[in-house]
Parts: sequence; structure tokens; C-alpha cells
Amino acid sequence: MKKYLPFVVGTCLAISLSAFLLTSQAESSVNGSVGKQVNRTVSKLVERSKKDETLLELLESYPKEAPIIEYKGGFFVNKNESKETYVLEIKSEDNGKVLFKDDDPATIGEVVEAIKSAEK
Amino acid sequence: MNKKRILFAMIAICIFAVGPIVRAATPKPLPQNIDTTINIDGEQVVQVLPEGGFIYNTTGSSSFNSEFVESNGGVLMTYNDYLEKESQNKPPITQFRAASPSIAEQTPKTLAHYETYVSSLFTNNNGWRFGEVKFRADPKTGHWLLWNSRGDSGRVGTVVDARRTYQNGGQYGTAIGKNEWKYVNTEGDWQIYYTFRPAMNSGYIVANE
Repeated sequence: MKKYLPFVVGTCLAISLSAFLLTSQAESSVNGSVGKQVNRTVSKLVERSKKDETLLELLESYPKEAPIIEYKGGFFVNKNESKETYVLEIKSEDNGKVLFKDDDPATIGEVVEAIKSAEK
Repeated sequence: MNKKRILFAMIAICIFAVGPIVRAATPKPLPQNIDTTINIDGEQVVQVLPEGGFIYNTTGSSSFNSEFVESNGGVLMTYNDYLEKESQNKPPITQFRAASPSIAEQTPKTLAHYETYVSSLFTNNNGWRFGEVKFRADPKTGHWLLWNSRGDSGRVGTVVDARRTYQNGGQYGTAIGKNEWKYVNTEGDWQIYYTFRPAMNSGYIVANE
């Protein structure tokens, strides 16, 4: 019986190691795709730019650093805020229920760059 | 005998400890039995929503509560008409703006200082079309809002003005010419943009500055 002991222990260790490596690989794959995820506002406005010929010119009239958040095909810009501070929240008057909230703005510069890249 | 027990115990520990890890790292197969087909008669009336998509009665009924339709800003049409519009690659239905001020009445946005909203685009629609948000300036910054009617003329009025325009077609509120910028002050009342038969790809901008 004793002679099988190293074999069993070795097999168990090999299985554990394989499982650990598989899990790590899966996690890094997920993290990788999150890292490449496009900001919602950027993606929506690139889409709009395909139908709105004046959008790029309009966006370029705002400061590059100004934060921007897409809302139902339109968008909000606030020249007084930064990407780190700007949050768009629309609340119902009756009960204060949040109808829309986005705290992940892009900057005008990022959107302009994405639109120009998409045009190439 | 003891050694045998230890051996089995170790094997069991390996299986139970490692099993869940392996399962967690293995992608789960997609469910096979989800029915994604839509069975709608071509003549059945559906409610096409301003933001895209449509609502239909699974019972096959073509009747809708008119208040809900108005509240949604929906457009009623047969399923065949809807498919035809989609297939003809007409301007997407997602660009329809509300046919009544109802959505704007329920969607308030106070614009902070130097905050601007640029609307989505109107399509070439018949009759009055209304923006989907009502605005006012942050009271700390006064009551003036700067409006721009892009690509076509429009009007800006209070909720009451917009509602009266919707109900009797009268031209209430402040007129804004095509591509004109104009300050509007409604003494703290909410302001809504509306336009008659808007030109293709026209829209509006409103800013608190």
C-alpha cells in the first residue's frame, strides 16, 4: 500500500495545480476583456456620428477635457466639471426615484478621437 | 487497514476540494430550451417605442391602453408596417421624439452652471414633436436658459405652453428661428422644446451659461 502513496499524492497535487492554472487563466481572460471595454458614451456617440454629419464639429466646439455623458441619443456636457466628478442623474419629481444615472463619463477628447478612428 | 482508509480519505479530499474549482473555471453551456421566436400576425397592431423595439400583446390582441401609449410616446402600427420600416432602412425608429409632452413632463433635469444638453435627432415627422426632457436652470444661477434650434425652427415654453400646443395646435411659448440661439426665462418654471414637422436630423441644444 505504501508504494502507491507517492503516486496518489502526486496525482492529487497535479490535479490541484492544473485546476489553479485553469482558474487563473479564466480570470485573466475576463479581466482582459473588461480592460478593453469601450465606454458606453463613446460607443453610443460613435454610432450617432454615422448618421449625424455635424456631430464632430459640434463636439469640437467644447473643451477636450469636458466630461460628456450620452442620454437617449443626445448627450450632456458640463464645462464646470471633470471626468472624475461629473455624474448625470435624472430623478422623478414625485418620489425622487432615479430615472437615469451614469457616473462613468467620457471626455469630449475621447469621443472625438473615437469618432475619427471609426471614420478611418 | 488504516493506510487504506488514509488513502481513500486523501482521494476523497482531492475530488471534493478540486471539483468546484474546475467547475468554476469551465464555461457553462447556454440553455437550449429558450424560445426566442416571436409569433405575431402581420396585421396585429404593435406599439413601437421611441427608444427602439416594440410592445405587443401575447394574446394576439391589437388593442392598447391609449394612456400608456401616450405615456410611452409610442406609435401604433401593424407588425407588417413595422417590419417594412425596419427593412427599408429608414431613419431608425429610435430617433422618433415624443408626439406629446408627456415624457418630458415626467423627465426633469436641472441644468447646473455650464451644463449643456444636446438632443438626439428629430426625424421628418408630421405634426408637433416634443423634446423628452424638461429643463430649468439651477436656481442658484438664475432662471435663464440658452436655447439653440438646430436645423429647423422650434419653440420653447413651459409645461403648460407645451400641453396647450399639443392639445389645440396653437403656437405657445417663445419662437426660436432655425439655427438661432436665444435666452428664455420662464421664472423658474420647467422649459420644454417643441417643433412642428421637424426637418430630418434637426434637434436642439439647451445650456445654462
